[in-house]
Amino acid sequence: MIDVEQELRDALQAYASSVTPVQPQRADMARIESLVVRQPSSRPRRARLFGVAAALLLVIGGVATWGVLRRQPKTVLTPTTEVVEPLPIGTWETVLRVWALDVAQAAWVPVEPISITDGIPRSRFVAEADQFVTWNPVPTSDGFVLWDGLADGWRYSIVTGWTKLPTLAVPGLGSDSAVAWVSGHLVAIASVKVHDSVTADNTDHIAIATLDADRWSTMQLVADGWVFKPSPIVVDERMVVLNGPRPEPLLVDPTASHAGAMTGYPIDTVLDQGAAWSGTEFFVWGGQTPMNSSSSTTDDSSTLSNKGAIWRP
Amino acid sequence: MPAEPDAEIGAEWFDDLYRTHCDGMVRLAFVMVDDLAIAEELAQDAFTRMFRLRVTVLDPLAYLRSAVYNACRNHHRGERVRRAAPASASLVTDAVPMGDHVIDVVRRLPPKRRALVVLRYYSGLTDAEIAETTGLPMGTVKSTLHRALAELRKELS
Repeated sequence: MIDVEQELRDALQAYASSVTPVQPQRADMARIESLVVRQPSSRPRRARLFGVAAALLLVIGGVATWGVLRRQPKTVLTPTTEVVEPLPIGTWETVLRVWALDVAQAAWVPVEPISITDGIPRSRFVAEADQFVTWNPVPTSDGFVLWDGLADGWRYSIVTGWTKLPTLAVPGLGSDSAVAWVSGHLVAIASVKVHDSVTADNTDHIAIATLDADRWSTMQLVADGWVFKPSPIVVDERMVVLNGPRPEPLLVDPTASHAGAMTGYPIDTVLDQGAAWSGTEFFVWGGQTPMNSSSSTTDDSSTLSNKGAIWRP
Repeated sequence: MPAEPDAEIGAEWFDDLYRTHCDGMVRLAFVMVDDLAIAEELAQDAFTRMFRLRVTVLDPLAYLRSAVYNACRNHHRGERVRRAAPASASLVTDAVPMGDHVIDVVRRLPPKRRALVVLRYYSGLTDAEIAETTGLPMGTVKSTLHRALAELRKELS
């Protein structure tokens, strides 16, 4: 009677040892960068999906904007946006095209385009009244685009056109930052790492900063822990922040520089929930929980949910 | 006060991780796909994903192992699609010929069973760790390994 398990161990070890991987002394960062920054032409299906999603967003945004403007008829120019696929030239280059809706003429008019050479294709857009901002990570000195670290953006105003926002430094390589308009002020939120000189450890905190007179305030720590790619939803003068690692959202009050977990939350997914504020009720639904609870990856082995919840503040 | 940002911390951390685990991840991929060039590609892909998430993954080795498993699984799926398509030059691989009977039997296992066998008997993972790595329920891991072992016993006896 042979010991199959031991045979297997020995055979697999010998098999793995039969090859000699070519292992460079250092990581091939150029190659890894090229994989991180994939050209859209190498992923035609993804590019098509991206195009369809962008078109859908444009249509939905246009219809929503039109509906709002019809209720409050004014002769104003309200911007909407479309991100065009990056050019396959080997470096990040995003061209932002903007159209404005002239309600009086009931027609879309082009606005002067802007080339954001230090941005990335997945810019975020937040709008308020007659202006909006794009928000992007800033590439590092060695050319990498990271979702943590420095971030900045551009503000578009119908009156003044494009102006660059000051750079926000997310301390200690925390998480991706996001911005939202809260009571007329642009507020940034991010997970940050703070070095404790006593314990010599880096601890995770959630921090916010406010843009005032074109300068970011010092980031204020508002809660312990972290969130993964924060996506704040503005609820009156506060922000609801979803995206783990805890299921329950975080309620952030920028005025008081305070945040707290929204206890009683009935959904157990921790990432990628959908959420919206109707003006009186906050809706949240779906999401997923990674199979590896120690990570925030969103691969296809996550647990999905179709539950939803309503919060009435 | 928050510390000042230091982009180099991330780069050094990743470089250390790469040097420590690159060889092991390539070999793990190799015993799953039989092709060193493809294994190196898949391991690089795993490190690429790791690089993008290095701040938020608390157990890098477990993440890398899981990423290699998923990459190999996707590779096998792609192979099935290519095999279903008309023959082409892409079917030609640099597979390493093996005379070892045990390995020959392992290579004939369905990809999922083979991957679990590799994680158990090459990586030395427990049932729980395999379930964590693959995202499969514990019961599925146990039953799949049981069936694989029975098949191997039958083939090798």
